[in-house]
Amino acid sequence: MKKLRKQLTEYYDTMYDVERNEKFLKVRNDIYTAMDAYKASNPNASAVNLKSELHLQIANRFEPVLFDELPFFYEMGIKPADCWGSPMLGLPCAWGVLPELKNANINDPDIVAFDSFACGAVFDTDHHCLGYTKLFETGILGIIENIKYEQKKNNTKEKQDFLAATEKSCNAIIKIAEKFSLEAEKQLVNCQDEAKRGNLLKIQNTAKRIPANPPATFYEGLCMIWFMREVTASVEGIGISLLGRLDKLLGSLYVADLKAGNITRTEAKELIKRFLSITPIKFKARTSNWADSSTCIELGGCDENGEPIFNEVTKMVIEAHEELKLTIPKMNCRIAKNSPKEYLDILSTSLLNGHNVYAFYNDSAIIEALVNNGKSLKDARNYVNGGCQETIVEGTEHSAGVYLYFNMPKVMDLTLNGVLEDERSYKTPKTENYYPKQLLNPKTFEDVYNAFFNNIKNAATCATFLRTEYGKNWHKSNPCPIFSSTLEGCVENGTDYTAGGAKYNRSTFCATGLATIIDSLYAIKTAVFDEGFITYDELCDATRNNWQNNEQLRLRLISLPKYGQANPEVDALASRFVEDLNNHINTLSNERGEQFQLSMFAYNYYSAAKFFVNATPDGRRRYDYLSQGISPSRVAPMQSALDAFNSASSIDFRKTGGINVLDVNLPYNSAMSTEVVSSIIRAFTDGNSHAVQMNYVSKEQLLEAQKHPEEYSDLIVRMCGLSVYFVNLSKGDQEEFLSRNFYTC
Amino acid sequence: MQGIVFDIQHFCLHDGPGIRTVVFLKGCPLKCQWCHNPESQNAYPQIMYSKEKCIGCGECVKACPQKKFSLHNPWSCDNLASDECSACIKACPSGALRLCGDIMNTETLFKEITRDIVFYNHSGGGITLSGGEPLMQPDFSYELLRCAKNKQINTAIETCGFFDESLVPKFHTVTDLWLYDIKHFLDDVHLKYTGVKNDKIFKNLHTLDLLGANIVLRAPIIPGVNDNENHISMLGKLAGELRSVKRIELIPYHTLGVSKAKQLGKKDVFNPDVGLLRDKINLFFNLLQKTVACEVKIQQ
Repeated sequence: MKKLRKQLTEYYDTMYDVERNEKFLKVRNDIYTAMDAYKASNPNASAVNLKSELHLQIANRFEPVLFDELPFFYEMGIKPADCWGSPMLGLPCAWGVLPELKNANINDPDIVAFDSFACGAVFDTDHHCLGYTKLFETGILGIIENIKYEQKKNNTKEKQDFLAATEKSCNAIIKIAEKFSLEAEKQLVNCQDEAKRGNLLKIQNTAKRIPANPPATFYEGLCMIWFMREVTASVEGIGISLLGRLDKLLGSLYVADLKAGNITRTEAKELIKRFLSITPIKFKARTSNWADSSTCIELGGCDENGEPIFNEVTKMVIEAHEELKLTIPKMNCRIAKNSPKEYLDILSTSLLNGHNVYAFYNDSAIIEALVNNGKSLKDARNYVNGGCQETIVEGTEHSAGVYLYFNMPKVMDLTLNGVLEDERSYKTPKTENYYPKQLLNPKTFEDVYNAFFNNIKNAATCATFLRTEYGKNWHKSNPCPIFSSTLEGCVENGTDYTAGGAKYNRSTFCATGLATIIDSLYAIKTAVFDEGFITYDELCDATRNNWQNNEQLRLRLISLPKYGQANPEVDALASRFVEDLNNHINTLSNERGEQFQLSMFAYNYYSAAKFFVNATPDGRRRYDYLSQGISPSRVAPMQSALDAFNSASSIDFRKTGGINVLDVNLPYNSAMSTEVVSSIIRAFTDGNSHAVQMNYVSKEQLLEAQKHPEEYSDLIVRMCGLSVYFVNLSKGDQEEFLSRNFYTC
Repeated sequence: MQGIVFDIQHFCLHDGPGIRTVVFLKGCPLKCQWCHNPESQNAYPQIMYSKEKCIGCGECVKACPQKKFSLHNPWSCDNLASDECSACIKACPSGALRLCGDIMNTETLFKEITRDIVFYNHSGGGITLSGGEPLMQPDFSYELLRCAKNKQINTAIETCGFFDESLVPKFHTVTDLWLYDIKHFLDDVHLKYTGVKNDKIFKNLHTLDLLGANIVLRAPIIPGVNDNENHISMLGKLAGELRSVKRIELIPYHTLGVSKAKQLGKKDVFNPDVGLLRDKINLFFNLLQKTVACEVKIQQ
């Protein structure tokens, strides 16, 4: 592994600042010149036609890179080491991307007018999952066969154009693989080293078969996933976050290999270790302070019949990940009522070892939510999660989960106080009517709730509409025929995924700060209306002045019941709000003619968004942390970690199509056993909540790690939709983690 | 049915199997000098005041209808031992003043207990009644345990053993586990440090044993009181004679009770030197492991 690390590090050190890499620049410039010429001679070519020509040009011009210590082939030298695959302007894959769409969220004054409460791009270009199941069943050749079949139908010109382009792109992919085979063959001529020859021979043979054909062995399976993931990201200009359901895809291939004597468990695990190691090296996980590769693995869950998936591959991946003390790839683990005890026990033990990398997904609630949002049961059972925790259905859906982040506490702030004197704000004619309006003189709590909710509704309606207008044109900017061809529907409809060709086409509205606004609403209800110890105006004044000379009031408001304390009244308010918001979000349409759906996870937006939000009635000070996902806030002391689960589980998330995530730091205590943690995970599957991420770490450890970072280089924490080495974090992020609720038991 | 409860702790792992909720009932027939829950001894609601939390705002003084309240000295008020007046506590914004001891009815309490039922079910956990002495409020405790058993929730009682012998068979039917405290074997020492003799405690223990109850012996090890090998060998002997002891738990004295005693306004607080305790506990643990058949554990 050391040699592998050295080799990869040496190569990728030249691949961060690609604008200084002459080889990269030459290939890029050649491709751009060829494409400019192609476009000049084909002035009426469609975007997808141009994209497929781009694929061909890339296939012709890239130079394959192989690594002695790695039996995988994927590196084309055309995207930076730490690029997810996003259409970064200046990369070969982004030749056709339209800057006016890509940067609309920074340049369009209407969108910018909302940036204190609604921010993010106009299209989610990352976080995707390839249709791995289809690739494992038919390979690229099977997809081409299907394209040829569709071409024989009485198609529109557009469909025919799309199908021709997709076929060309699929052939380009096969050509790319063949170039790796030829490169291996070339290197073999002068290679005497036995180990190196072994890898080269494997690549020479496998790259002829994969990805054209379905994988026939465990090793070929890993090659299929890794090649398709990396190459798609390199040539399409989209991020393929998901490596797929490794245990579901590879479990039977491993068993067959083992039976045939082709592989031992040790060899298989070593392959997995190498497979897992590439991304963290590329993204400098060991030295970077926020190494987000967005790369995810999905484990566990069920098959299309609802039967549990748990096999030796599940175990080997978990073992390898922990033994290497990795933070990435992210580990997304599906759990269900019928998950085997051994599976939960392995995860619990790993967590208690401090391997804080897991997100747990509650199958029953998520599958039901997906079905309630238009998926068939069979499709829903094949859900995956990524780049953080966003749910998508593998093979039938692309990600549209992360492009619009919504800051609910800011809307509360604007409802109570309007725009403060020292705040930047401007309105545009198009957005003015949708801008949150200040509420004066409410007579009842319902007045407050309705005014606040109307503000949320209007802002959400406008923010989604503005993005949709741009999104309608995105297919002209970056169509992705290769990715599309792996999704059910695109070939059949003759339509790219960007234009709504896939079977499912929802978009997700990502709201942040649930607990902050629920606690604030409850504080207003109690303090102003039920108990009446303060007037509405006085409360607004106090928040506007950031509790200046009013610490008593702040403490009193903090002492009121909060979400996360399993208080039935507060939890009921949270349920009511989530239901209302979900109902509204479901009425909004995206550019592909399907609905928006609600999610609450928001990456680290809870951290960035706080700087927009003044003091809130829950007792939070100006610019203090907002609550994270569906987790309790950190304004008030929280007694029992179980209450965080109880409050979250009391909300019925079976209707919200997007993911909703709870973060809990488990009590650090010698009495915490595998059985206890497993029973907590098991209990989570009884509720209607979607996902939970747990840390098992003590505050004392973290404080010690701050003092002696050299002794705690392996200390991992789950921050949000990613895990990091605590000592690498910036001081600010360390303090953020330390300010969270640390429970006792 | 009503009782006085001074704390409810969710997610407990030390007082019985699995994930548990521990309900602390107020009132104890013993007055152990080292008591780690000194607020449990008195059977009535009491005021507690934390100087660390106090922001000195004076809201309590302003709120006192009898004008008897002085800042930083809440115990100057006579009415505080009852629930007749709690104006000062209601006025306190910081939580520095709090009333220790809530009069609760079993329905409300049981509702709070059952919010964690899914965790009990999956972990084999349940509820533990502690205190104070739960059997000082026998009807209330019995009703809680009965309700729990009806819902198939595991039940445990943490007891000092000083209660009316007639309660033994009744509670045996609703209690899955007895966490039974043994403080001292000598009557006069027991009397000196706890205020009562120990004969009733041992009698009840033997009765329970005959009934075949699940028993864990809990031995708080208190510096200068029972931190000697003699006490440990007697513990071993006792465990050997009883049929139903599943485990002995050694509980090292800790100082958590000291700050709480101060918050109750107590002046003479028992505060022994704990310097050598950890080594002694390990020694006792080894001694017991050699002599008894049941499990031995040091409770943290």
